[in-house]
Order: sequence, then structure tokens, then C-alpha cells
Amino acid sequence: MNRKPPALADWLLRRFHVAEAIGGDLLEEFQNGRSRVWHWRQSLAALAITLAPRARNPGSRGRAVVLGWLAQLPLVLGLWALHIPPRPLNFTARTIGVAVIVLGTGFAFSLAFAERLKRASNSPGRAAFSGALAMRFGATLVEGRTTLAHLALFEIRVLVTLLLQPLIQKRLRPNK
Amino acid sequence: MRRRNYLGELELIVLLALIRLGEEAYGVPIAREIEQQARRTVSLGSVYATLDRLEERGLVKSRMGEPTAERGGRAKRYFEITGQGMCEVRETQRTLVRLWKGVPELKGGLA
Repeated sequence: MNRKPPALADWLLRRFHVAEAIGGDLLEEFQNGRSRVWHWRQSLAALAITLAPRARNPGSRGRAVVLGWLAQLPLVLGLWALHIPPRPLNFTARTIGVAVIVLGTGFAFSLAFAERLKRASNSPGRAAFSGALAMRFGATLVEGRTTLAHLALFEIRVLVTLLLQPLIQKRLRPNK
Repeated sequence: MRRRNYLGELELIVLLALIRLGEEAYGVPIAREIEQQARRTVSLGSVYATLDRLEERGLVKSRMGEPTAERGGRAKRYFEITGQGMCEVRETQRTLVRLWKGVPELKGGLA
């Protein structure tokens, strides 16, 4: 029997240099009859375990931001698939109140993230994770993301915003 | 960060699995042994992360095998418990037995 493992999962393991032995073990178990879902679950767990220490000490801020943003994607996609928050949205006082709170969190994040970027010892990856999540939920509650294309466009916007944060910060406070 | 010198639960379970498996211990059989004996599911990633930690502390040692076609050209990483690792397991066992003996409510719990 020579089954092909999920190509994307296999590529991710190689791309992010997850230990060769883990990739081999996953393939061996997959060939022995484990399911594709099992392979994906194990691959994602191995990626998370491998990338978490790198996100804490990522080498560059750009990489930290991308890792932080990537980390929130599975959760966002999962919730989107489960229709959370519900679509179409009802603009009741409660929904708008929640949106204001979440957007406020996103805004607070932007400031906190900008502050964090000035201090090398902090984790921009973690800041990017929480910020991207806050921004994403805030905007979803207000605008509603009905299609996957909308979601993808929004996520790209979040990533670009996060990557441009240091530049914006520099322009706003050139002396610091 | 302060380095701890005691074994965590998963670390102890992994070391015991290594002892049971002997020389042919690598990721897949270790995870399987844990599933069968400890009746808990562990991801291969967390097994390797635990083994890496134990290796850093000198409690296990590893060697790479030959790459094989059935593993997509990737090699196996074999693990073995060291003498120091064995001492740690014995010490943990003594501690647990001492604690066990002092609890009358747990008497006969092994039956």
C-alpha cells in the first residue's frame, strides 16, 4: 500500500523544518492505515509545538508577526465555518455594544503592540496573535463576513496592518 | 528560567515507555506504548518535545537511523534511557511509593 499523505500538511512540515523524524513517523503511521484527519491533527500539533518556541524568539519581528497571525487562522476559520458570529447579523443594541467592546480591544492592541515593538524582550508574535483576533472579531461583528473571499481579503488586510505597525509607529513618533 | 530537577507526569510516562521498549524505541512505538499502557492519547509532536527536554537534561540519548523509502526518505530517531535517567525514574518511584504508603484511603487500590 502506498497512500499519499495530505500534500499541504507534508509541505508545511518541511517548510517549517519540523524534525525529520516526526515527518517520517507520521508518514509511516499513515501508510499503516491512519486517516487523513489523524495526519492533519498530528501535523498541526507538531507545527504548534515546533513553532511556539520560535515565536517567542523568532529572530526577526516580521517573522514573529507572520507567525502570530498564522496562529490565529485555524481558530478564525473554524469559527467562521461554524457561523460564529451568526450570519446575517442582527444590529441589535447588544450586537453593537459587543462590537464596540471588541473593536476597542483591537484598538488597544494596536497601541500595546506598537509599545511592545520598542522592547526587544517582548513577544511581537503573541501580540500579533491577540491583536489579529481582536481586529478580526470586531470587524466581523460590524460588517459581517459572508464569504470565504471576504474573510481572506480581511485577513490579508490584518496581516499588512500588523507588518506596517513598526513603520507607522516610527512615523508617528520619530524621536522615540 | 530555573531548571527543575523532578520528572513531570508525561516525562515519567515516556521514560517508562522507553524502558519497556528497549533499544528499538522511536516515536511511533513510544506513542503506541503510551496509548496502550497509560490509556491516553498523545501527539507525536508532544512525545518528541518531551524527549528533547529529557535529552537536554541527560536522561535519554538519541541516534539517527537510516532513511527509508516507506518514510519518504526520512530517518528514524532512536531513543534510549541513560544511567542518569534510570536513577531519576527509581527516585521518582521511591517518592511515589513513600507518598502512597502514607495514605490509608488508597490502601488496596491496586487490586
